[in-house]
Amino acid sequence: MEIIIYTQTENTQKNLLLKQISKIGQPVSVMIFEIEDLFQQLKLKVSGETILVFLISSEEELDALLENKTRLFNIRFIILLSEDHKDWVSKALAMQPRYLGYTANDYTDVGNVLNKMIKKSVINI
Amino acid sequence: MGAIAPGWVETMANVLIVDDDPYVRELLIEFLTPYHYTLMAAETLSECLTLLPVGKFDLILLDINLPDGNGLEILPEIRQSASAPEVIIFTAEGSAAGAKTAMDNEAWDYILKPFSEQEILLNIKRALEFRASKKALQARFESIFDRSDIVGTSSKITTCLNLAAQCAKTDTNVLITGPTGTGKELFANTIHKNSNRKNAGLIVVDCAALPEQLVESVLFGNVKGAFTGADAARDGLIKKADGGTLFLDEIGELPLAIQKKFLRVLQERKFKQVGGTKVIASNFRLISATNRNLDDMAKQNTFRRDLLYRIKTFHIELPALQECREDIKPLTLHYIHKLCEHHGFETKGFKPDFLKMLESYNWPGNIRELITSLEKAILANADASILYPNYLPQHIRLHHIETSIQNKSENNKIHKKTGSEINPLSLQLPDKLFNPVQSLKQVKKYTAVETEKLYLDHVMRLSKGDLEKTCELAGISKSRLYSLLKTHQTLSKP
Repeated sequence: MEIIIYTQTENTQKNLLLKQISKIGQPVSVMIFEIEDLFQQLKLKVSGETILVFLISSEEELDALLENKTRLFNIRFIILLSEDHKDWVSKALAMQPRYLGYTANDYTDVGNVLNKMIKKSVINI
Repeated sequence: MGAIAPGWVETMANVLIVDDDPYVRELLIEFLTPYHYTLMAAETLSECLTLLPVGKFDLILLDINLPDGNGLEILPEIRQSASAPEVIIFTAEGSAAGAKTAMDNEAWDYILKPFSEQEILLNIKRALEFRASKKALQARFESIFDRSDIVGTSSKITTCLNLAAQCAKTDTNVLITGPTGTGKELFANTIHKNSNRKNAGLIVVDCAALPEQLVESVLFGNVKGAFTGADAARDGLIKKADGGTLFLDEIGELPLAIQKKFLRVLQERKFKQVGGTKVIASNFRLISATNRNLDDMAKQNTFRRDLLYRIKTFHIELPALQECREDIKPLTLHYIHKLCEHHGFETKGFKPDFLKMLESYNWPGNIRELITSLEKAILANADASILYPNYLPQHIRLHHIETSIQNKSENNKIHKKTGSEINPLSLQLPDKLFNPVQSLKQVKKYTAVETEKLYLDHVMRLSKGDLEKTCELAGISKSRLYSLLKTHQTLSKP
């Protein structure tokens, strides 16, 4: 199972997230900073064997994601928002993520969710 | 012309006549010409199969005994072709097994030759009327129900789609069950898209992905400081589903304590946040899904029976892929196109062996496994425009080889069995030849007579009592045949 993180370069939260994910013993395969680069990278991956983590820090990023929703095909993903503004949350939920979290914590929740998702995919594969 | 007047079928139906007998073909053409059908004829199975994709036939009149094989063998292929024509079988030699095969493959009728003009015309009329009404119903269904990405025409999938269409417009709680990878979430999305709540969201809760300590706050929300890490008040997903649909995927994974709390929400459509006192209302429609047997879980007290009754107002059980193998081809075509698009390739084609291998596999992981296998095959050789069987994952290829070996060995067993046990010309020597033991000359004489009798009986059966044919097969004159028959009739008398 591969974990890919999408984040803005300057997002300081990314290191904290990486640290938490490394605790579950799952190395992050790639970290991507541009949305188009993300889709290029996804073209090379088997979709059922990838989990994406979106670290979203602006509404524009969220809009871009929503516009490209179908390009994610059947890749499972979780979304982490830096703000819990109503519009942001609605847009994020419209993407139908496996989990919607927020960046204002230590990402223990994300680590736990990823852990369960990975275990489940091993059973399903 | 018979009692049925021309013009009883309004549609310009395309009809294909498949028979190697020119007399039958001409006769059928003569019968059908007044009805303004577009008529085509084929003499062999291969001709029929060549015409099949281009003819858009509504009806095929198919003879069984054709020079290159048995018409029943291609019946599944005809029924699964793009136009899925109705088929009327006609044959000079009917058999119960043949009739069963025809009916199993949804042939319209199985008619014995010779048939009357009236009989065949009535059957054609009924088959075409049935087809017209089926098409009209299908068009109506498609115009009102968006099936989205649900692919397949098997009766099992069609039944599930009909159920989805029935419940979509209501606010009934729906439970979708079925093995992993059968498309439960896709069905939930389709029901939501076709519902009156489609303009509000479908909120997905993946119960299997949520750790126990998170489920409650994710569903019900929390007030600030409700627990360690609750640094802000947040709405739960039940609230977010207000006006729309709440989809609880893998509901069987919900902890018992949460089941109890959620049952109350279902009864009252009201709840409190974690750590909160304020009662919050939410008007949502519930769709749940699971691959687990909730009845068994209820017996084992791991799932609340009262909750099960609530969520199972309407139940859709999705079939495993191996129960609807005829859908493998359309699923393959659909997902190859989608996957090629996703990975930035031109849509790839595939060799017949590739599909054969997919169709022979048992797919324990169902459609999800099919998609992943196709994706791996597509990525195995990015430059290839055609997919070959060797691009598929090894375990699928291995399964195909093992199955082929097994089938071959079973066939061999059957052949051996047939040879030793059901030989129609086998001869048993009676006890009287050995008690007391007769001379070899006597035994030879007995076996010669009995063999002759058996042989004649067998050849007569083969030639269906046609004496000329019997003579031809046996290589004897008619007078000799008469003499033999007379002898053996005499001999057979007590």
